[in-house]
Amino acid sequence: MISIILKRALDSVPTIIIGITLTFLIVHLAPGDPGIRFLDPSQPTEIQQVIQKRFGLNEPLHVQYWNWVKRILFHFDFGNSFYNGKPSSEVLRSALLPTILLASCALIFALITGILLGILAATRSNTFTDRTITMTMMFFFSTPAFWLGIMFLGVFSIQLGWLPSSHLTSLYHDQLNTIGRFTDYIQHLLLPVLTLGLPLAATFFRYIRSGVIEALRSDYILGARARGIGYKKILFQYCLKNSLLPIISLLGVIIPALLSGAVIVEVIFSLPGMGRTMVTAVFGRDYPIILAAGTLAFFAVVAGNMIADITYSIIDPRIRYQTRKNS
Amino acid sequence: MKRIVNIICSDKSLYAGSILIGIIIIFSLTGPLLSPYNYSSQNLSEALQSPSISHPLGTDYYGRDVLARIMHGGQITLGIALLATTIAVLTGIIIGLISAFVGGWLDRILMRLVDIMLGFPKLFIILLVIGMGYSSIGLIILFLAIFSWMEIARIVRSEVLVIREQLYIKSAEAIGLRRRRIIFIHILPNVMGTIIVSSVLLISTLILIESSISFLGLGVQPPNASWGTILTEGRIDPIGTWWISVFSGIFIIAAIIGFNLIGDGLRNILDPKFTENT
Repeated sequence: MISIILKRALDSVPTIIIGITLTFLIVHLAPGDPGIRFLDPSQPTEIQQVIQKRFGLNEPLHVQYWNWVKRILFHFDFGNSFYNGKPSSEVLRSALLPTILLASCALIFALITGILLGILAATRSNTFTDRTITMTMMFFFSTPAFWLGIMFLGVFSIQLGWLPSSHLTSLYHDQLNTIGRFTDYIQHLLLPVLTLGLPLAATFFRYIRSGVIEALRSDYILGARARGIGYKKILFQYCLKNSLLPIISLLGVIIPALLSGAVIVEVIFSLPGMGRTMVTAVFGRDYPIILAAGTLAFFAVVAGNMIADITYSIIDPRIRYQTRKNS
Repeated sequence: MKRIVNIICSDKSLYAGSILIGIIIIFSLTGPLLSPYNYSSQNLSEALQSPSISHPLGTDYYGRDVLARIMHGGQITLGIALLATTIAVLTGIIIGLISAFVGGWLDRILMRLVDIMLGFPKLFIILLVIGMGYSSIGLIILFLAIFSWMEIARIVRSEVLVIREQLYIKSAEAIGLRRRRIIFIHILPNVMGTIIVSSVLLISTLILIESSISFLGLGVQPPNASWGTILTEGRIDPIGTWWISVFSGIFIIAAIIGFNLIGDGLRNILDPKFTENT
């Protein structure tokens, strides 16, 4: 087991190095100079050079790259934001909580909805219930998150006024008691989580439905039935476990998708998370923030892939034995 | 032609998807010729009208006809998605073939590259590249393609490796056919089915990504319009100007559903094993 984890960790090193280098190059080779953005155009060019020097942008690219890598490796310092001078790690730390909250709630919601509806549709396959659920899920599968988000915002926040339209907490959040704070979070997160979670639930649904239908037809289920094992036990222990396999291997793809989705959802609902920080930083040419956020995103994706692989080998004995035989 | 119609009619979701996409394509191509309005001509005295007979889908903030913009946007959105898919599929086929036939260290490097590229958060990189000031339709197509060829390359490689071991390829080699002929006449047609299915599904993914980028204000820039660009204009007031976002969104959804249905249908036809399971 440990050898698998180590091997995967070593495998991911090139991905991270290439990814980070690419991000650095794209950011620094882009046209436009962050120094100019702080300047009145009528100022002499010397002032621009002073600003460039302060940000370390006057040196050749490879020197800048080396300095950047050195600072991360030896001091874990991603540099300070060009805008407010705060360290990037501090900016990102405060942005991390909303994104993690949003992404994990959406993932849990999607898993529960996808699995339950998938089983429901599979056990009633080709009936009215199945068709209705499948059609609805096909719709959510094809609906872009931003459209869903805008519709939710329009209907539930503006027209009906039931739920808040933006931010993670209310202005008076600190004055509430514990229960009040909790409901405040839920009220603010409900629409974003639905926006991010529903398309994902639809993806899970497709896999679970076809997986359970296939499993129900297979010989080992017939055997289990012949031995008189209860229907519920067959469904949840035998069928579901096998249908979950493709979903676990999907996890590697889902984590980048969640990150990308979070960008859109955070922009729509003005959540102060990673995605919005990213977009603001890209628009504002805030190099240190972009680079730090990019590095974090690559780590998240690589870690997600590793977790997926490892869980897969724990759950599916066939893979475990295969790797053991090979190594 | 008759054969194609027969194939389309033989599967329900392929049939529905083809009709949906057919309507959207005809609508986008012929619409601008028939519409009295130009997609970019402003008429401020008619700004923000709700749907009426003269403007069936209303007008936007500058008095531009939303229907005309959606029709023009269809050409842009579908054009970007189709072109990017074509580039990605061709790249994928070439790299997959090279990987399978040359083998050895080149194969290992290429597959490594595929792994690395698959691990990239797509939207993030594209956002970065386009957001940093390289925004033009050509570059959007190029970057969408750069981040989408990997799946196809993987599929082509693994399928070719299987097919190459089949007896008919061995006999083709034995009678001394040239390698190029074996690849293009005997192997590639057998892989084509899988390639077509995944490229159709790729189109819908790319429509989604392109409209996401345009939605963030980084993709196709106004006054030019893609469906995502139009949708984002209605975002400022989702209730007061509902027609802008709702209608452009419906077209995005319809196109994605359409391509997904075609993809599912083709898979049902081409892969009999899959049909039994669903």
